[in-house]
Amino acid sequence: MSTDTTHLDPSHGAGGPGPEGSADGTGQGAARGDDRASGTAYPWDQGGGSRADERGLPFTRLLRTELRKTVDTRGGRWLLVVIAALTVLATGLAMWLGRDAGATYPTLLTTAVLPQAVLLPVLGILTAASEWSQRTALVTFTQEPRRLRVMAAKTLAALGLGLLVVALTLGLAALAHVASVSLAGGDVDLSVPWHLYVGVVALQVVYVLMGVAFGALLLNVPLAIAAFFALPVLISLATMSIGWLGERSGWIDPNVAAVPFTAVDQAPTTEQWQQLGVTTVWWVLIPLALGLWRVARREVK
Amino acid sequence: MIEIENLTKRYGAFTAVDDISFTARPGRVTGFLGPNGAGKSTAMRMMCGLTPATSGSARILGRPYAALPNPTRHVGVMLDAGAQHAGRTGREVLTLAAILVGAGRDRVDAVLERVGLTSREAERRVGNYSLGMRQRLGLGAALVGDPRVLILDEPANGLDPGGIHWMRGLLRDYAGEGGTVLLSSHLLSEVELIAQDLVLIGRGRIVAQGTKEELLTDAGVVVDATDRARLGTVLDQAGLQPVPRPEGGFTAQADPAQIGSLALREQLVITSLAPAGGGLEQMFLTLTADDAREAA
Repeated sequence: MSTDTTHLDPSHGAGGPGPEGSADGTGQGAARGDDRASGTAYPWDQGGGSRADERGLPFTRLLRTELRKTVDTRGGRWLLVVIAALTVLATGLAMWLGRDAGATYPTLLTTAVLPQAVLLPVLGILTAASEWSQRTALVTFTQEPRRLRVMAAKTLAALGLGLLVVALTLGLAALAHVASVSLAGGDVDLSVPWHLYVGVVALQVVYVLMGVAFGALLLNVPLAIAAFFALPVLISLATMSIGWLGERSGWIDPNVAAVPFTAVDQAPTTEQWQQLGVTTVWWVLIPLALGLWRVARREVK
Repeated sequence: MIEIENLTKRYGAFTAVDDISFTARPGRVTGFLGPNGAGKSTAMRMMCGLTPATSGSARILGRPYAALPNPTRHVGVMLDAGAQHAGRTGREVLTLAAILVGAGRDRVDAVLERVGLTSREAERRVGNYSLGMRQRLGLGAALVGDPRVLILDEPANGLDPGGIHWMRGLLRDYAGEGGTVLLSSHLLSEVELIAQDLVLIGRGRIVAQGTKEELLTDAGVVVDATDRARLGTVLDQAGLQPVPRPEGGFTAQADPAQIGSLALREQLVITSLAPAGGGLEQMFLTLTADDAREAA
């Protein structure tokens, strides 16, 4: 398994095997009993390997468990299956619509990431909030009492999975384009303006983080999902009906701010980047900060 | 070693845990006994840093829990056997715990064997487990890191008598190797079987603590003789405060040897002589009866 050596507890002594080596699972028996029983010889009081013990739980292990937790339940696996299925479906639809001339790669790309914009945030919400609904937070935060470290691992896990999905989608869109033009008899053209790649990746990162933020803020999966989908709609309604807000919708409404980033012809302007930044402050950074504060302080029951 | 000093938790006007102090020593199984709602779980959550204490301190292996580096390597915790994702298999739960302590697959197998779960049971989802199986799994997850201290909330709940006997053996062995065990229970009979030291808690306060023998001896002995009337007189004269029992005989504040020599001197035929375990039971029943919900 892992190659690091932090598991080597000096209390096991030179003769005793580590936990991995203890095939009978009964520990190292009476030899260790003396220093245990004294009640004062703690691993961190001893010389030598105690620094390894002092270093605590490596972040890589935390990240590994959090990644594993996102896919080791039926709910998590189904979410990924649904994302994959809808991505394939969207790609197929774009291929069918462009069946005469052959669907272009940018069109396939922007269509294929559409379902992900809706579902990857759910992955973020589940990662951040499901342990509070399932009560496994009780276990997780006893394993690592530094709760923000756990949240950092969860956020990175969700981001990593999200980016993996995006990367696979780029590959799928390219394959779909090749298939589409071969059927229609056109030329393969895999060139895409760089701003589209940047835009697609930036948006997916923002969406996943927004999911994590809503999950951490509400710590309740159904509530967070409902809020995640309802609040932007309410804001859109507000910007449409109130003139003052409508003029500034790009700075308030995350959906409006996102539009230029999937445009093929034109790179987003500096102002549009600023708008994405500002809406990200409202919809990601502020809820995330409040959520982390809440996670750090909340009593785990 | 678990050292609890003046630990207190208030929720507004309600005091869930009221200034408790005790020490769970290495090499011993300490039972944390009290009726439901007495504050056991709140106290245990405070020990593990999940609930912030209003005041006081809890130190494990000399440190506050949150200051332990990689705590599962040193402290095995099971606060609620039901707090597992129903969709994970038992093996997966242990694998996640094993990754965190840096142990391998063989450690998971060893733990499964130690807590008596077969590999077939381990492949099943936790949602299909009985409470007893969840307790075994939770105990297994606590043991994965080969810790020196175990903190277990109601670990015997849901176990059948055979299971309780098994757990007694496992925890006694673990303590025998120098480990510290603190376990809670709301059932006196359960804790009496498993624990060596007892801490009795009621309404957030500690009402008694000591070794099981001390607490049982404090209650005196139950004694009966063929000449019951004269036994009463003799006990009274010896200053042993006999109290007649409804089912016959007396409860007296003495140890069996005192009664024996007294009987020899007074030529009494003793028909029964036993420690009055009921003292602890009486204390516990009083605690329970004080609770409005039980009295209603």
